[in-house]
Amino acid sequence: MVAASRLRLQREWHVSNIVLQSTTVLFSLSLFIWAFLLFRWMTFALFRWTPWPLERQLDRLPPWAPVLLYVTLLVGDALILWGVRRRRTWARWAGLFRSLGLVLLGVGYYAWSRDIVTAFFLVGIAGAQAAILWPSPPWALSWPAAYWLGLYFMLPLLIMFIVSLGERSSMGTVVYTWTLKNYARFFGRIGGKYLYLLILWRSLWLATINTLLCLLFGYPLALWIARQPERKRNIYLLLVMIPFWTNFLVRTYAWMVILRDTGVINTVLIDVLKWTDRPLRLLFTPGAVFLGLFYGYLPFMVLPLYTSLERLDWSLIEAAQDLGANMRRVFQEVMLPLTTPGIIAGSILVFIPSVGAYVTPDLLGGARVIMVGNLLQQQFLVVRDWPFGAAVGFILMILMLLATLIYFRTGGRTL
Amino acid sequence: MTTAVMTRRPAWYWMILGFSLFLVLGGVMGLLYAVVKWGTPQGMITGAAALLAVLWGSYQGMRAVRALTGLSWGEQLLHLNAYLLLLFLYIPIVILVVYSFNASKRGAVWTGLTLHWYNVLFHDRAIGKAMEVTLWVGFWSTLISTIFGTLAALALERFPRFRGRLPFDAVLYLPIIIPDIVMAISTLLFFVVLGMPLSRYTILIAHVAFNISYVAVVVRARLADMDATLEEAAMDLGADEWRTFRFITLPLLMPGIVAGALMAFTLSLDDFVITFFVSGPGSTTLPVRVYSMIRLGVTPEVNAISALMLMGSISLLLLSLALQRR
Amino acid sequence: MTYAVELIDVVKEFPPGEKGKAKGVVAVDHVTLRIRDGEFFSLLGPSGCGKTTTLRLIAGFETPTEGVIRIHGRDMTGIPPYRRPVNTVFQNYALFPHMTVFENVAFGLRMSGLPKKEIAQRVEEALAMVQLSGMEHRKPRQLSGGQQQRVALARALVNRPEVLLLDEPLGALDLKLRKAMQLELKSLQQRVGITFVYVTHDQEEALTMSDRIAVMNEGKVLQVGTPVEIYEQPANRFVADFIGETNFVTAPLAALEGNLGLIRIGDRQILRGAVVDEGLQPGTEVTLAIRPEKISLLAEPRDGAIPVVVRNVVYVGNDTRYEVELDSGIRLFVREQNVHRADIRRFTAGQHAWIWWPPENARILVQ
Ligand SMILES: Nc1ncnc2c1ncn2[C@@H]1O[C@H](COP(=O)(O)OP(=O)(O)OP(=O)(O)O)[C@@H](O)[C@H]1O
Ligand SMILES: [Mg+2]
Repeated sequence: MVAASRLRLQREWHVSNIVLQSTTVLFSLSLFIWAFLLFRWMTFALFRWTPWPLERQLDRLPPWAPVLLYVTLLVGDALILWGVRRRRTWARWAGLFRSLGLVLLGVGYYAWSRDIVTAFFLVGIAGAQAAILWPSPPWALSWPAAYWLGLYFMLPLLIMFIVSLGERSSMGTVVYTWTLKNYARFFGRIGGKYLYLLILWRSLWLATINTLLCLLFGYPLALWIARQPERKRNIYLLLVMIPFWTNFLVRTYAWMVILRDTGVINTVLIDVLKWTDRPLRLLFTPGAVFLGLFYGYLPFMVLPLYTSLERLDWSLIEAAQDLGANMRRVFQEVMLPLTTPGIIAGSILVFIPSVGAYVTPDLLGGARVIMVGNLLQQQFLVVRDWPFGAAVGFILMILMLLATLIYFRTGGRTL
Repeated sequence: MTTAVMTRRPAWYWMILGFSLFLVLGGVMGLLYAVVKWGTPQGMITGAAALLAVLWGSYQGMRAVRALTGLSWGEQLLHLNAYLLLLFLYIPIVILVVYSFNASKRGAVWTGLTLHWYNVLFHDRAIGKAMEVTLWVGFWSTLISTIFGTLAALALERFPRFRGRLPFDAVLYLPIIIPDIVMAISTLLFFVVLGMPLSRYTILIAHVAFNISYVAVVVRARLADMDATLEEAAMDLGADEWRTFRFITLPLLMPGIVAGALMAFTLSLDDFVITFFVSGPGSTTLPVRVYSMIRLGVTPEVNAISALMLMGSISLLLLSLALQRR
Repeated sequence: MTYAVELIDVVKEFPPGEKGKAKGVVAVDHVTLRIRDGEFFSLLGPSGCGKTTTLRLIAGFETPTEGVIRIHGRDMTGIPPYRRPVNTVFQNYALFPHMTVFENVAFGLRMSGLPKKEIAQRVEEALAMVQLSGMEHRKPRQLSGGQQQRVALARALVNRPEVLLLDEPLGALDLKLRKAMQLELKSLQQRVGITFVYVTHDQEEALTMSDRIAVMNEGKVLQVGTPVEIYEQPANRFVADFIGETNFVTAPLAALEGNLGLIRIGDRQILRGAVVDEGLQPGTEVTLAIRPEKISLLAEPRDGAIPVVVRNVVYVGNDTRYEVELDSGIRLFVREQNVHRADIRRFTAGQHAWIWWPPENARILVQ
């Protein structure tokens, strides 16, 4: 009696409904995929399917091999699903092993066929099944995002780092030589001048000034909006949000229409006022870049500032005034500390894209390399020195991470 | 307060106000003239006079306003700053839209109203193709990133501790933090190193990667605001995990998910830098196409397409606001 | 006998790090409770003493670190909330904001898969019971606090749970509504005959409504008993202090007279009280607890009375509070009901008077 119940205990898997349900969903999905693949494989002659990369690769095998593969997977998954739904321990282990097998299959398949997409897909499915069967509900939920970001975001960053340790061959390809030459080149002198550091310095400098100016003008604007009566406030807020949501390229381009030699300003000066016949040089100047940055990122400053100013309790200000503080003191002692999160969030939102800006210096600054963004574009798409470009990108990323780290240290929490 | 400042009749101040406005506007024109004629004597003299006019005019104007309305200097500056900035934000956009109806092919001279450029646009095959790719990428990236991002947000908000939570949390924030140009080049390198040909699929992959983060952030904010006892109440009333999610969590989360999805869609439609790097020949999106048109020379067609994109963004924004208000 | 709810030696410890706490918190500390079928059982205690946690353990939202919870004899270990025969009325009501009143009340029945017609009928009954008929189609935010509270009640009761758990259900209501709802809740409980486990930190609420009360502090149950027992025979100083108002006099026990104890303060004054703990030896430090209304304030001396000086007189509506000072400097509160108008301010500050109480009205408690 006791032995029997213990036996049952061992064979039964204590697991919550939600795990069983999601296992069912996911395994049904994979069953469907195998069945569909098998169906396609069997009916190629009939329906003239457009072959997928996987199928093009499998075509290299004898025709029965894919059938065997699909059927094995199909039967295996069906068995596991059946067992799991009956809360059998063996099914859980079988499922975990199958996931491992699928990962190995994916890796092997990539090695054999170089078809990365299918391999990624296989491993992704395997990971999701493993996370559910383990069972780790948080990872089952996180898995899709984590897998995608890991593969298509973190891995690229890693690759960027690895490439930055290589060198450019004469044909423009990457040779992995594991040197720090690119970094040395970036931080070193070229023809007696710190060429690249200068560009980085200029980017940081421009971005800093831009951030400060956005703050200087944006704060009063946010304050002004926050102090409007409810209905007006929403309208003005909308007026700030529209540029925020509008395509950056379009907004930059608008300045080209105004500033170029045949643009609005010059037309007015030449054709309407007839003050001059030679157009003023407005576009393709550092001033234009600066204007573009300020114009482009001002809304990014105003919105977070507005959020924190709106939350501000105005009775605090009145209380401070009541206690005899003048306007300057009220600002220093009450408003500034209470809106610090908004200031920091806005500054980050302006500073980081300003440093890495590409569109603005490219369109408004002309062909010259003014900011890091241009430098990266030039190295990647024009000179094709990828290792050096990767090094620059990596340095830029580290700088930005440091900036944000400082931000989080100073106590901000919202982005 | 008001009466203390106002020592004469209002009509008098209105006159001063009008006069000072005239001075300021004239002064701005004069400054412009000085810039054009920079270096010549008449330019220098006009410039100096204009500067004086602007300063004196604004001083007198503000005094008049103070007398009329009792607004302090600081408050007047606040108003002035706000109105000027809003003007600054909208002048370029308005000019762009207006010029998209200009008949002239070159330059900014107004030669008449036309819808010709819109017509040209609708018959531009390349634009049509780019539009199709943009919407395709936008749709799929929104769909995928909304699902994945929402799931991740659920995991992070509803499970306060699990192994690997902190690194995952950090990675989820990274795409928002690092400049898009860095993401662009690293993704490009990734595709090239792994030998994936650039196509609309590579664009999709990159877009999903950054959209997941934005969706997760938006949905998380909503989840954090949500009362967790509602879920407990549902379980207490006999709903298991799935039904609690289906009947309580999901409906309450919907505004956040929709906001996240619309944000993702907008970001995807608007993205230029990343797409520019990872798009292959024959698979450009609208912004990339517009960019190359701009590089080829500013044509009225670009004005028209810009105006359309503007309208698109505004309607998306209004849609998202309307949905959030519900 | 099987109990409606049994908690046997239950411990709940929250791990460190949560809610910003560096150290772990023992929210429920070896609690044993046996709640009888059909009983109105209250958990009473100060804020943070673990009442909500105890309730959440019964409902299944938290799993005990140690111990067993049984409902009608069934072990609840590993059973999720949705399969427990209990329902909860939450402190903030937790009404689903996106559902109407009807949908809220129907939710539990829908989850158990009842046919539509029966659901409609039972929801109607439940709403009638809490006097909310006609409000079916409103959303929770269109209801007043009291109405929301009743919806929460109906939503729980409509499932006919074996045990209803209520977490300070009246906490958010104003005083008058609160009193009315107290009576309503009590009569409702008597009508439906369901076991109520009621959490409150309002002693008056607990005393008026409950069949039995458990007084908790810092995760421990200090006393379980009927309201009369808790009020009249507090088992320890905390209970005496927490429930109602009590005067405490701490001194060594002078002598024992049967089940009465004598304590001496100053050199002549002797106070008497009933001894609770057995085997108490003279000489140990004890506390004498006596409620203000159990003390008589006399104008004339009598046998065993103690002379005092009236220090303070406060008129508080239906009674008057006096603060009196003994020769030894100890101050006690005395409360007198104002039955006749002439009773009001019988004494004035500075006046000499005598206090006296029947010895069994005072309790001598171990420290
Ligand atoms: N999830 C949790 N994590 C960590 N500590 C907790 C958690 N929930 C409760 N606590 C702690 O356990 C203790 C008891 O909390 P509980 O909510 O049971 O108190 P309570 O008696 O209901 O108080 P109140 O009357 O204020 O509602 C408190 O110290 C509280 O901080
Ligand atoms: Mg509580």
